[in-house]
Parts: sequence; C-alpha cells; structure tokens
Amino acid sequence: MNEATIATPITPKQHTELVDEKLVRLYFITALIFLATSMLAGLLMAMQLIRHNPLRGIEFFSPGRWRMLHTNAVAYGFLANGFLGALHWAIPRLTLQPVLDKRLSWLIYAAWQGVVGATAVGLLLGEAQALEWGETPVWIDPVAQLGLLLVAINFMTPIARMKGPMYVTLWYFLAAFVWTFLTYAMGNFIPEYVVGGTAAGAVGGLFIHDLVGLFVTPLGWGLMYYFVPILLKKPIWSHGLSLVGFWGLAFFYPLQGIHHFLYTPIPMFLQYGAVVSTIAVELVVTTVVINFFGTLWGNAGVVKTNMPIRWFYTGMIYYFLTCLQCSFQVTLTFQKIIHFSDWVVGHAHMVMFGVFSMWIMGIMLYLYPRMLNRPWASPKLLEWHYWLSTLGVGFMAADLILLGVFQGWSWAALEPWDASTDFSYPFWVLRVFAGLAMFGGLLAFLQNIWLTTRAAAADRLAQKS
Amino acid sequence: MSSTMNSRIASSVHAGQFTEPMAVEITTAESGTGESDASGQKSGRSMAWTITIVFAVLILIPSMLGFVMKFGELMALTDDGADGGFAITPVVNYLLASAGFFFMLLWAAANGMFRDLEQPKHLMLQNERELDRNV
Repeated sequence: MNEATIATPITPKQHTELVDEKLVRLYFITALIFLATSMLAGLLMAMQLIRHNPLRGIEFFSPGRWRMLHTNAVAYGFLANGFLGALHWAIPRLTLQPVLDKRLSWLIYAAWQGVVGATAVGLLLGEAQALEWGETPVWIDPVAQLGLLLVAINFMTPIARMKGPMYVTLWYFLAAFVWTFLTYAMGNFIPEYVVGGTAAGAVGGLFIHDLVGLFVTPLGWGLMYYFVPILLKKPIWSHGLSLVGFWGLAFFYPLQGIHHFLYTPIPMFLQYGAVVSTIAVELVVTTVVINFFGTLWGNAGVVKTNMPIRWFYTGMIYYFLTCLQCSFQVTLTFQKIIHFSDWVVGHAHMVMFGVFSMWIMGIMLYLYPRMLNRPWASPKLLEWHYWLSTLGVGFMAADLILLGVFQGWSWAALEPWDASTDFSYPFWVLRVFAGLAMFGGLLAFLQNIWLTTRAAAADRLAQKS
Repeated sequence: MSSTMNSRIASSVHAGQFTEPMAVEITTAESGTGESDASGQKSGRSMAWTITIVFAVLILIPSMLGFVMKFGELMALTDDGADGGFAITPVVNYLLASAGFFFMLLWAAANGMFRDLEQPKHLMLQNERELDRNV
C-alpha cells in the first residue's frame, strides 16, 4: 500500500484540546428541554383526540399548532441538538483535529436555539409554511440555511484535514452535512418559490423522507459505528460491509420520498421508482443490522449490564422492524388500506422515538457521567427510564398500527367517517397512556441528570476545600 | 499493504487486541514471501478482475441502455409542456444528488480509500485508546 494512503499516525493531542465538553453538555440539556416540550405538545394533541383537551378554546394553544410544535421541536430541537452535541465529541476524536473554530461552535449553538425558538413562537402565532415537517415560517428559512452551512464548514474542516482512508462514521457524517443542507434548501425554497401544484407535492414528499433518511439516518448510524465499538471494546465486525451500507443508502435513498404520494397524480414511473428504491434500502439496512449484531456476537450479555449498549441495540431492533414494515407499506396493495390512517403515525413514532431518540439517549447516558467524571446517581432511575420508554413506544406503535388497519378497512368498506372515529376512541386512550409512560421515562432521566450534576458539583466543592 | 501496516496489525492481533478473524486474514494473506505465492496471488487477482469486468459489461451495458432509453422517453414527455413537465423536478433532484456521490465514489476509489477496507476500524480504536490514555 502506498504510504500516503495510510491514515496519519496518532499525534499526541489531548482530549481537552479537541473536545469542548461544556458545549456538548449544553447541547444535551437543550435537546432534552426541547424533547420535554415536544412530548408535552404530543400529549396535548393526544388529549384532543379523546376529547379532553385541557386548553380548549384558546387560539394560541389550538391543537393544529401544537401538532406542528410537536414534530418541529423533536426534529430541530431534540434530534438536531442531540446530534450536534454528539458530533462535537465524535468528530474531533475521530479526526484528531479540533473543529474549525470553537467560537463558531458557540455562535452556531446560540443561532440554532434562536432558529428553533423563533419557529416555535411563529407556529404558535399561526404563521406556518405549507410544508409538512418544514412549517418553519418562511422568514426563518434563510437563517436556518446559513446555520446549516456553518455547521457543515465547522465540522467538515477537521475531516478534510485528515489524511488516509476514512472510518465509516466519517463517510456518514460528510454525506449528512451535504445532504441536510441540500434537503433543507430543496424542501423550503423549491415549492415556495420555484414550482407549484403536484410538482411541489412531489418535492414535499422527498423533503419529509429525506429529512429522515439523509439527515437523521446518516448521523444516527455514523454515531452508532463510532460508539458501539468503543463500548464493546472491539472493532465493527466488517468495515467493508459497513461501506456497502453507506453507499447503498447514498444511491437508493434519495428517490424514496415519493412513496408518501402513491395513488396521486404524480407519474406512475416515479411512484414505482420510489417503491423499488424503498425495498432496496431494506436490503441495505439488513446488511447494516447484520454487521452490528455480528459485532455483538459472543458478548450478548453486555446488553444487560451496559445501559448505553442496551439503548443502542433496542434502537437497532426497532430500526429493523420499522424498515421491514416500510418495505411492505410502500407497496400499492398495502397503501390501499393504510394510507392516511393511524398506521403511518405509529410507524413515525417507532422510527423517531424508538430508533433515533433511543440512540441519542444512549449516547447521553454514556457521555454525560463521563464528562462529569462521576457515575449516574441512580441506577434505578436509569432502569425506569429505559423500560418506560421502550415499552411506551412499543405499545404506542402497536396500538396505532393495528388501529390503522381497522380504519383502512372501515374506509374501504365505505362506512361513515364517524364510525371510524368511534371505534378509534379506545385505541387513542391507550395511546395517551403509552405517551404518559414515555414522558414518565423522560422525567426519570431528567431527575437523574439533576441528581448526578448536583453530586458532581458537591464533589468539586469537596475537592476544593 | 506496507510492511509497517502489516506489522502493526500483526502485533495488535498477537497482543490479543483484535479478536475477529478479518485482521488475521489480512496479515496472513499478504505476508507470504515465496515466488509461488506471489504468482498464485497474481493469477488470482487477474481472474477476479476478468470476472468483475465480464459481469460489469453484462450488467452495466443493458442497464445503461435501458436507462438512457427511458430517460429519453421522459425528456420527450416533458417537451409536451406543463402536463408532463412537473415530473422532471424530483428526477433531476435525484440525478444531481446521485451524480455527486457517484463521482465521490470514483474519487475515493482512485485515492486508495478502499484498498485496505478493514484498516480504519482498527486505527479508530487505537486512537481512542491513545486519547483516553492522554486524558
């Protein structure tokens, strides 16, 4: 092998030179505040569905606005902040280079909270762009776009400075920075200013799905490829297979979004293309999941004792299930029944909470005490957090997916709309309880963070004295 | 693979740091010094190249022909005006994104990024250990 292509040897850089732990912690805390806000908004929406909305009649808190706050806060408030915190840890350590400028990192942090906060206020005031999951008021879009550009520059610089073959995590991260920037621009500007009608609908479909597949997925998997080997203290089973997964995602994913609009006036060749590429991605996902379970092989007992690993692998099981479900539900046969039903809502919760939120929780679980140099204050609260979240989202997804099938059959039989809302009622009640369990899990985690932070502060005081 | 790399992986394997079989295979497969080993490896590589090229031709040429014909039909459709024109937007989006990544794939291959597929995973863990040691 040419020496020039071998990755550079380790330079004696200190962790403290590379990672700004204060910023990582701040990102995590902010992410959790947004998650709590989003879950409260989701609970309010769930209460509305069972006709017990406690804020009935107040325009500012009308359910439609809460719903948008729920989806936007989780995507841009929780996931984005959680990922940014984890990236500030992972990229400098992987590349052995600090980010371009630590002051820029702080500026991005402040600007991003401004963007998400302004979006929340805009939505509650009733100002929203007509784009699912991109309802951010139009005047915020250029600021958000600039923010994404700065994020890309700040993180891509250390990756570009690195020499030699890249670890798979960095491939995922590089792609995510490019894709997220392009996806945001495509969804927020093209339908608003360039095309209209069905074309705008098609682009909207691409936007929703690309946000999952080209922003959340590459960052999530990239972080898993980084944290899982570290925690298991062994390399990923096959790095070659991991690259198959990455390039498969790169080529098959971008056409998928149209599957949100099957049976619409969008040309059938595009609809069929979306169906085929979605099924192809399931094959790619299988290689990724096999790789991670191959890595765990022989160490399965770790799942019981190592909490972050438990969160990671639970998320992976949910990921496999949700992608398997996806490869069936995008067929025209399935769509006849489940389109517009609660099946889709169940699927969305399984992927957003069951997979990516779980991975971020696992990362926080590993990094937060490490940064405080102190173990978690209450292992019991950690167990409560895990079980309430895992069972809560499992029940919610199963409940809504089953309900979706019943709704679809009812509509296909041309029964009155009221009949479907009547039999949905008990399912929606169960959904409230599942949501309460998930929220309870989050509260257990927040309390544990509070106790651990307080104990670490006490440790520092004791050391000083 | 350079001798430096070989010895690094080999010593790591010997020290019991890497337990999965791939690292061992990399070391043993490329550490042979005899002439017969070298010629055997050479003929094996040329056979692999021949099979790859035959399959690439058999699969890629019909696929590309099919794609070009279908793309031509699409372009003809868009010439009809607004009725078919809107279909082009998502397709162009996809082609632009995929073309970028296709060129990146070629660039990465040309720059030796895939020459030793398993090396980065060992180096990553090694770096982590060093960083934790320096804390």
